[in-house]
Amino acid sequence: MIRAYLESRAPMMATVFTPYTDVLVVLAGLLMGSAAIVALVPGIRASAVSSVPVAVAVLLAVLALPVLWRGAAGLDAVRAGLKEADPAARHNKCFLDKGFGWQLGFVAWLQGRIAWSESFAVHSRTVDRACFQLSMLPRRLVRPDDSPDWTVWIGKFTPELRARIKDEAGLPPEQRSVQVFDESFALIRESR
Amino acid sequence: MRTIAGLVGFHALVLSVGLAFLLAVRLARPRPGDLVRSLGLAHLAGVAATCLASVWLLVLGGTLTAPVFAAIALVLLAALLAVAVLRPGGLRSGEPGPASGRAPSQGWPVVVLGAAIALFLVVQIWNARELPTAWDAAHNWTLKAVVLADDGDLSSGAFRDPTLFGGAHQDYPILQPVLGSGALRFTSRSDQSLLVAELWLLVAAFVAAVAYLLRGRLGWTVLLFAPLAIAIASGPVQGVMRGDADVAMAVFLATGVLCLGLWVERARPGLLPAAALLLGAAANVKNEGTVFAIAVMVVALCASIGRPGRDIRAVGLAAVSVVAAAVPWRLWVAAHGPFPSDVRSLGDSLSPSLLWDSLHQLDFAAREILGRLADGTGSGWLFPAFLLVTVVLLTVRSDRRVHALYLAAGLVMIAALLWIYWTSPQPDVEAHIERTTLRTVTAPMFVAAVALAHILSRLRPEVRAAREAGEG
Repeated sequence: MIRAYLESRAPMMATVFTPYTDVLVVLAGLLMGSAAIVALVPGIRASAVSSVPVAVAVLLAVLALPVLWRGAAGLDAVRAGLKEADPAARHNKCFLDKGFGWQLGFVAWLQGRIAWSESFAVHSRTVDRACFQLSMLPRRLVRPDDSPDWTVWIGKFTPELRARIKDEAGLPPEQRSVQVFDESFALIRESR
Repeated sequence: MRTIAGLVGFHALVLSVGLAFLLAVRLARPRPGDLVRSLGLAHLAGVAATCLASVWLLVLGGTLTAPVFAAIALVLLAALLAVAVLRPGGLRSGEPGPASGRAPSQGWPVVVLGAAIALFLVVQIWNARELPTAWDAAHNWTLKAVVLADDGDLSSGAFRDPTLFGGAHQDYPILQPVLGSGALRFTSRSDQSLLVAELWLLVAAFVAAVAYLLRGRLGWTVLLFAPLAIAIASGPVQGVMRGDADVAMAVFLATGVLCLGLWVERARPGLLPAAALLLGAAANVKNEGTVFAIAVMVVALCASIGRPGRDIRAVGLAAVSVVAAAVPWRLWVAAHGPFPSDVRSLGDSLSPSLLWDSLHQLDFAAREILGRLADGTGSGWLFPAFLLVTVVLLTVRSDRRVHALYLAAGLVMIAALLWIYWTSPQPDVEAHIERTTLRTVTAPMFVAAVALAHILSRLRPEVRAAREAGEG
C-alpha cells in the first residue's frame, strides 16, 4: 500500500513551491509586517505580539480596495464568458455548451405543439434531459413508462415509425399521431 | 411593471418577517433608525424563516404557490409580532439591543470603502440582467427553482429521478431553489437574472448584517469593512453569477457564526435564536452547509463549557434547533432515495483500508484548498491572516473563548472538507477536487472575514474598556 501511495506521487516533480510552503511564506510575511510595525511604532514596543493584529489590520486595509477592484474586473470577465453571441440564449445556453445547439430549432417547434399542462418523454441518446426540461418548462419531462402525453423522438426513425408516418400521410395534420419536424426529429402523440 | 411590483411584494413579505423576528428576539428596537439599520440582518432572517417554513411545507407534500407563500409569511409575521408584544416588557422594554453603543466614527476611509462596497454590489445586481443560465445551474439550482415555480411541489423528476436528471443532485437541500422560485412566481418570469440578483442581494444583506451586529462596538471603520470587502470580491464569489449555492450558504453560515461569537463574548438576548435560524438556513442550502452548521454548533457548545448552566442549556437548545431544521429534508431524502451522492456514507468512509488507500486524495485536496485559501495574492491573505490573528490572540489574551470559537470553527470546516474529499467516491476524484474547491472554500473564507471584523474590533481601547466594564 505504501508503494502504491508513493507511486501515485511519483510523476509529480519534487519542488519546494507547493501550497503548503505558500501558506508558510504568507504567514512569515505577516510576521515580518508585524516586526516592521514594532520597529516603527514606539507605542507597540511594550507588547510585540499585539503588533500582529495591527499588521493584519493594516494589510487588510491596504488590500481592500485593490481586491474589490480586481474582483469586479474578474466578475466582468466571468460574465462576458457566460454570455452567448445570441442574446436569446438564456436557459438554452446548456444546449450550446454541450454542442447540442442543433436541437434548438426543434425545441422551439415543440414548444408550439405541446401544451403547458402536458407531459412528454424523450426517446434519444443525444439529449441532455435536464437542459431539455429547463427549456420546455412548464411542460413536464417524464419517463416513457409514466404515461406521457407525447414522445419526443430524436434520432434515426425505426421502420415501424416510418410505416406509421407513411400510413398517416393522407390525414390532415391535426389528425396525425406523428408530426415530423425533420428526418430525425418527430413528435409522437401518446394519448388524446 | 409586473416584475417590479412582484419583487417589491415578495421582498416586503420577507423583510416584514425578518424585522418581526428581530423585534421578537430583541435584536432590534422599534425605532425607525434601528429598523432601517437592521434591514440587512432582517433580510437574511426573513429569507431564512420564510424559506425554511416553505421547505417544510414541501417536504410534507404541500403545494407552494404565491398565495401560500404570502400566507406563510403573514402567519410568521403575526406570530413573531405577538411574541414581540407579549414578552415581558413588550415592545417598550427599553432594553438596549446588542447593536447599541457609540455613534459610528465615519472618517473618510470608511466612507470610501463603504461606498466602494455598495457600488460593487449595485453594479453586480444591475449587471445580472440578461445573464444566461450556466451549466451547473441548468442542471441543478435553476432547474429546481423553475420547476418549483411551475409545479409548486416536489413531484417532478428533477427532485426524485436521478436516472432522468443525472446532474440534479437530488440529495442537495432546496432552500435556494425555494427562494428563487418565490422571486420567479411573484414576478411571473422564468429569468436567470432574477435568481442571480437574489443571490447578490443576499451578499449585500450579509455586509449590512455584519455592520449592524458590530456597529455599536466598533464604529464603522475600515477594520470592519476591509475583510468583508475582500471576502465578497474573492474568486469563490464568481459562483454567484453561475447561480451556484455556495455563497448563499456562506452568508447564512458566517452571519450565524458571528452571532455565536458575539454571544460567547457576552450573552445577550436574541443572538442565539438568530444564530440558530441562520445556521438552520445554511444547513438547508447545501450538504456542506449541514455539516458546517452542526459542526459549528458543537464548537459553540464546547466554547460554553464552564459558563453558567442556563447559558449551556441555551446553546444546547440552539444546537437542537439547528439539527431540527436540517432533519425534515434529510427525512425526505431518506424516504425518496437513495440518490447518487458526492459524499460517502459515514459508515463506509470509516474503513481503515479505504482511508489508507485514499491518502493521495487527502494530500491533493489539502493542496487544492490551501491553494485557494492562501495563495498570497489579494484575497489569499484573508484566511492566513485569520489563522495568525486567532492563534496569536489565543496565546496572549485572557478572554480566549471568542478566539477559540472562531479558530475552531474555521479549522473544523476545513477538516470537514478534507474528510469529504479524502473519502470521496468520485471516479475521477482529482478533477472533482480541482473543479469544486473554488466553490467549497467560500464558507471558510466568509467565516474568516466576519471573525476578523469582530476580533479586530475588540482591539480598540474603548471597546476593551467597555467590554471589561460590562463583564465587571
